[in-house]
Amino acid sequence: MRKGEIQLDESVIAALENGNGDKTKNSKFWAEDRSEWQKEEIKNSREKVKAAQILRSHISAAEGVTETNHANEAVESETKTFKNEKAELEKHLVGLKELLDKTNTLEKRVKIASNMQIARDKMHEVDAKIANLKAVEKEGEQKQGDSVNIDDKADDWKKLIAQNKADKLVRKAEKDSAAAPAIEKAEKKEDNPKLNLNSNPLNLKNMEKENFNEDILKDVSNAEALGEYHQKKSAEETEKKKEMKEYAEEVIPNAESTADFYVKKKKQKEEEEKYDENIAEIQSDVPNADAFVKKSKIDTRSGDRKNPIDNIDTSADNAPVDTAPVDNVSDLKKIIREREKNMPKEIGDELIDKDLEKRAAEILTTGEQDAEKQGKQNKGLKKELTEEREVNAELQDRVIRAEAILTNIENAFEEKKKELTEKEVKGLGKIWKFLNKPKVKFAIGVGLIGGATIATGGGSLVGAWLHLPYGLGIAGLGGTSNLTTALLGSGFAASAYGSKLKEGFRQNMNELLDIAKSAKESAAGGTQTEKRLQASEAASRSSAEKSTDGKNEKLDVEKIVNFVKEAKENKLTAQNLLNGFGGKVENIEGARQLIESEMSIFAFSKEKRDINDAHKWLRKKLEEINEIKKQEQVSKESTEQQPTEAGVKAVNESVELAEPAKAVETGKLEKPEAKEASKDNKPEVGNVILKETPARKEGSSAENLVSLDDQKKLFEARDRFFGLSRLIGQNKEKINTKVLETIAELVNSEIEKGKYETVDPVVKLANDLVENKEKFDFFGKEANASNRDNTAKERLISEIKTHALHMENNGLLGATAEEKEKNRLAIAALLDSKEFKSQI
Amino acid sequence: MTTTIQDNIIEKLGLEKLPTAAQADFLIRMAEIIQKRLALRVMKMLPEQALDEYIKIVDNDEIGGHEFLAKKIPNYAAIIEEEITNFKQEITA
Repeated sequence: MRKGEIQLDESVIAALENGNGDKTKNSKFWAEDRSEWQKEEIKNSREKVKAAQILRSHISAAEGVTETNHANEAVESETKTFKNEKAELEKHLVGLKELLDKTNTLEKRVKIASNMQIARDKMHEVDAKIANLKAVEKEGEQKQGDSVNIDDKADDWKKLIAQNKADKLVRKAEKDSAAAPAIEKAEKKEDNPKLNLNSNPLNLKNMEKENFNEDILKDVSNAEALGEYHQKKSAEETEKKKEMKEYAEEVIPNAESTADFYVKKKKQKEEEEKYDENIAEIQSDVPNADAFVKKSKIDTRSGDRKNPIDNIDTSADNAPVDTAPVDNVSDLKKIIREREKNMPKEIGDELIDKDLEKRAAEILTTGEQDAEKQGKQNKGLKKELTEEREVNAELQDRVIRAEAILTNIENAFEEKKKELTEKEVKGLGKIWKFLNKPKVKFAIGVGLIGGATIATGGGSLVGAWLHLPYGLGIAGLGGTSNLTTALLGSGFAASAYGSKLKEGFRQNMNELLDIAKSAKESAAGGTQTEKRLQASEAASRSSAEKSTDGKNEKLDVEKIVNFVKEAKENKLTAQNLLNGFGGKVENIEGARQLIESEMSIFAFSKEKRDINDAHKWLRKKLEEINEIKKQEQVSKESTEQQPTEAGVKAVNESVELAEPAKAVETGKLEKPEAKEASKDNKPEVGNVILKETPARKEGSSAENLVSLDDQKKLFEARDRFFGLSRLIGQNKEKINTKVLETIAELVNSEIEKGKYETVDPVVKLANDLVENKEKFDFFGKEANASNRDNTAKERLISEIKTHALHMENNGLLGATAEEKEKNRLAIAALLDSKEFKSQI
Repeated sequence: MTTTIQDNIIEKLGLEKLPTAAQADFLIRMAEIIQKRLALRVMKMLPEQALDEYIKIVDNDEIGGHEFLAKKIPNYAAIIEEEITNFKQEITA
């Protein structure tokens, strides 16, 4: 290996290797110091280049020295040759000089001198060569000296490079040392990924041999990965904390509750112990007291009045004695002492004994009882409070749920609405206006509350409510649809709540809820209607048994059912029924109901105005008739005092009876005080009785008397009937005086005949109408105009029920509540019976 | 065994312990929803021509319009009951 070559390579490699050897610091520090480091690196590189150049020059120089050595050897050889040549030339010259000296000839001498000159020149040339060779030799010697210096310098450079390397290692160590706190700091900041972006000690080793950009990218990538790691870790810790918190929230209340429980228990135990101590103290005092009493007895018997109580140790001896209840034995002692002072000896012992025992027992028991009582009360209250809280929480949840459901449904509806066309929206608005009636809403409310509240007799619950006997704009619905049946059930509610409708929907809903509540409470015994139906069946059976003598003309289920059967045999149809009740006079209740139901149909229709008009017209006609008949009566009475024909008289009577005060004035009715005079012949019914008329004289009886109240109802019914006649198709002109006369005649004649007692006057009226149906062909027109299909049948039933309700509300189903109830239920039972339904 | 229409919706929702006024509020709200649905259903039941006719009539004669509607929808009570039943089933599902 040649001198200098290895040293050169090692130094360069070492320099290059050590140039980047300062990367054990953390990346942050490294990044910040990178610029400085680069400058230094560049500087070092320049120095290295410079050093390398110097080295190269020295290498060249070293290479020159080597050549010199070789040249010296040649110089020595040539010098020797030249010296030999010079010696030869000197020798030749000496010979020439001798020759010259010997030669005298010029020519020869010139030639010899010329030769001698040539020899001298050659000799000078050789001398010059030798001199050159000496110079070269000298230079070579100098170069050899230089070569020694180069070796020294190479050593120096080696040392220098080694020193540089050592210095750099030192710097590196110093920087590492300086970077250590930063690394440590960065490591401490690992919780914060953002601050840790440039701090990745794990990657420093890899960074050492990579370029700057790659380092940075890698750094960032690692930082991100590290960030994600810490985020994940943070999330896990958050989750863990959350779980811990939840657990704590769950556990802490329990722990608190448990702690409270034990604290309370401990307190209670302490109180019990204290109480026991008190009791024990008291009990321990009792024997003392007993002993005292015994001793006292002995002492008092022996006449020794020394008070033994002084022997009992008490700290409250001097305390004042009062009559307040005693709480302990000490107080008892005071009492005893006081009483002994004032008590006669012979009775003192016994009283003291008893009193003491009694009070001691009281003290013992009262405390125990109080404690027990208080404990029970507290326990009960606590339990009640807990239950109430649970119920409230549950209820709140249900309310929230219900609210949410309703809101969803409302939102869904609004969404549907958005899909409608403009025309549909307009139509919807109109229909909504049509349907948005309190009564409809209330009927829906009934549907929501359900049948547990209001029995419907098996029919349409909503329909029943929609068909209540007064209308709030329901006309467009009523009478045209199959809003059928079940008036009985709804009638129950209607009678109680129908009148409330006008007071507002909210109030009705509240009432409805109250009904629901009461109905539920009585659910064990069935609904109100079910109860009533049961009672009705029993009553009907009883009534049937009682009516065997034929005198009982009151409403009877079996009778009506029998009528239906007979009607079937006679091929009675609804058409026949409407055409005049089919000619069966027993059909009094059916006829009555039908009349009233027909009225009800129209009473709430848009033709109500016509009804009013008809009534007004009819009243006017009645007044005219009254006036005419009165004149005729006066005229006839004044001439013949003969009774007119029965119909005319009846009309007179009826007109006057329609106005009781006037009837009294005209002598048709007696004042109440007049009844005394006539009681021998006419049993009293009500506070006003009919005065005998000529017609009555002919066929009156004690049973003909009708109370004023019944008479008023009768005429009200008649008025309604007249209104009906108008509404079922007759025009005003056809309601002529003949019709009115006939009605009045019938009514009064029947009363006079004594056929009925004080039964429902409407029943009588209907009965008479049926008996004389040929005179009142009212129903045919309606019947002919109507297509009696199934809908009509349903409507008929519905309207009959409606009428029954109407009658009930107007007190027309009987005088007493019992009678009213019986009749109403009997009607309902009939209408719900298969027999009846099969006939119409 | 009761039918849906016979069920008490307040009890079905477990709200019977609410004050009566609050129960009434719920009933009113539910009734209004059913009324709206009814109106929509009735409107949908009308053929387009009938709807035109209805709007035309009711604009000039409200009563006449209602009569017209009543004729077109004869089974109104049944529809109401059906809507109530549907509503009850929906809300208690």
